[in-house]
Amino acid sequence: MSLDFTVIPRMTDLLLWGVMWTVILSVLSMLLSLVLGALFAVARLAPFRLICWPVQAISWVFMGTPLLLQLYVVYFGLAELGLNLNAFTAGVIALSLHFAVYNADIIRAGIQSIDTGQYQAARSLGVSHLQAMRKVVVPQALANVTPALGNMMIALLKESALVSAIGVMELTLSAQRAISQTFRPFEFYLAAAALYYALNLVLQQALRLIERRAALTR
Amino acid sequence: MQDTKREPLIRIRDLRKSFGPLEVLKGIDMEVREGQILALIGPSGSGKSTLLRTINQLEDVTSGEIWFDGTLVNAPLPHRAREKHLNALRRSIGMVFQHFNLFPHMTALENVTMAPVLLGLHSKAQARENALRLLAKVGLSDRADYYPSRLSGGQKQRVAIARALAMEPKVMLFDEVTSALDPELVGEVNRTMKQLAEENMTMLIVTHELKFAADTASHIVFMADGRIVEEGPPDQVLRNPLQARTRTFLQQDFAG
Repeated sequence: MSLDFTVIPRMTDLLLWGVMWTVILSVLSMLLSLVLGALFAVARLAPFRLICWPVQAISWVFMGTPLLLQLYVVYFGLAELGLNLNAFTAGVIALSLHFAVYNADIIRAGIQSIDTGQYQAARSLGVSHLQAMRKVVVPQALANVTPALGNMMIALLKESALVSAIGVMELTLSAQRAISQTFRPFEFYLAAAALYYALNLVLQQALRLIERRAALTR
Repeated sequence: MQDTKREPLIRIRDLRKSFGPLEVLKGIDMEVREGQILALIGPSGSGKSTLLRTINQLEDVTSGEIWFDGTLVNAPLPHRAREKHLNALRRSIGMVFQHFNLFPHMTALENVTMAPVLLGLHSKAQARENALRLLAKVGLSDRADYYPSRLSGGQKQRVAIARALAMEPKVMLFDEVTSALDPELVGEVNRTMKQLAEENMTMLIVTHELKFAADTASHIVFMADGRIVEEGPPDQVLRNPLQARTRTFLQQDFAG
């Protein structure tokens, strides 16, 4: 038996459907994971234990356990408790939380790496804590951590394949569907891999643009 | 009102400050009058920078009182009220740092306009106009759109002075502002400070440059080991010091 890539065009619609949902799922999760990550980072830096500790606990749980299990718990586990999320929503929630805790750590380290003289200079002019953070510390921190956050986004796009395990019809699952119709696993897994790779090339270009813009401002 | 005019602009009473078991300010009493150019000199570790930084509360104190323009700076207040109180005070107290602390993600102009715009003192256009005037004053009109990374140390420090001046402060605090500069760049910053002195700005200057202090200051305070050892006009403190500790310091400094 030899490879026959001519089977792939027959499944174009199915694969493109998968690409579309992978993009939607990933972009939504990326945005959420960044927003949540920023919030978690702020909470972790807060001087109040009541805010700091719960976020710390969330971050241990989501860093210390596999994403696949997190997906199962959010989708099947919560359903048992009466919270019936559809697979897509469950996927977005698990992916965002999983990556938010990593993003939070990156952002927190970025903020802490900014010289305290920057904050003090701002405060010495009479601006408030929040203004000093928003205008002086955070923009510099974000510029510094943009590459690291970008890497997390690339990882997120790839890890989104796991969401196929709870039945979201994204790229990996659509490839599996194509295989079950054609019995051509090697061709379709390679095709899916190539499509993930292409998506990541696009993402990398976007990140490079963002990085250059962040770097220009200094 | 007239009585408060005669009050010194800054009055410090029995100020003490400890870092853990280490007492760095051991009871400081000091006054700064309006228009006075006060230079704080003394060996490293004598507490002069710490003292300067307590005035705008970048450093809090263990005990004692700091009065600025009739207000108790270190008033015991709940956190939120204290922040508000300090934000208001800090507008009137300009500070320039040893390491410039310019905001690297903003141009020279944006560094100067940030606080006045954020605090709603000026519209963006007004702030810009004002900043251009201040940058011209420190001799940097042609560098307004430069990011700090493209400025020399001396230029950075002059932008930092313009940034502090943009708040129209009643006093300027200078914390060893030429210590991090290459020797050939010290002059331009000193000239800018002298120019301010001639305009009757009230200034507190922590410095290691005794010659500059002698030329510029109207009053010298010599500190050692967390105490004020001696103070007076430059001619007296620098040329005919009364205290043996001052003499030792001056000899070492001129010898070194």
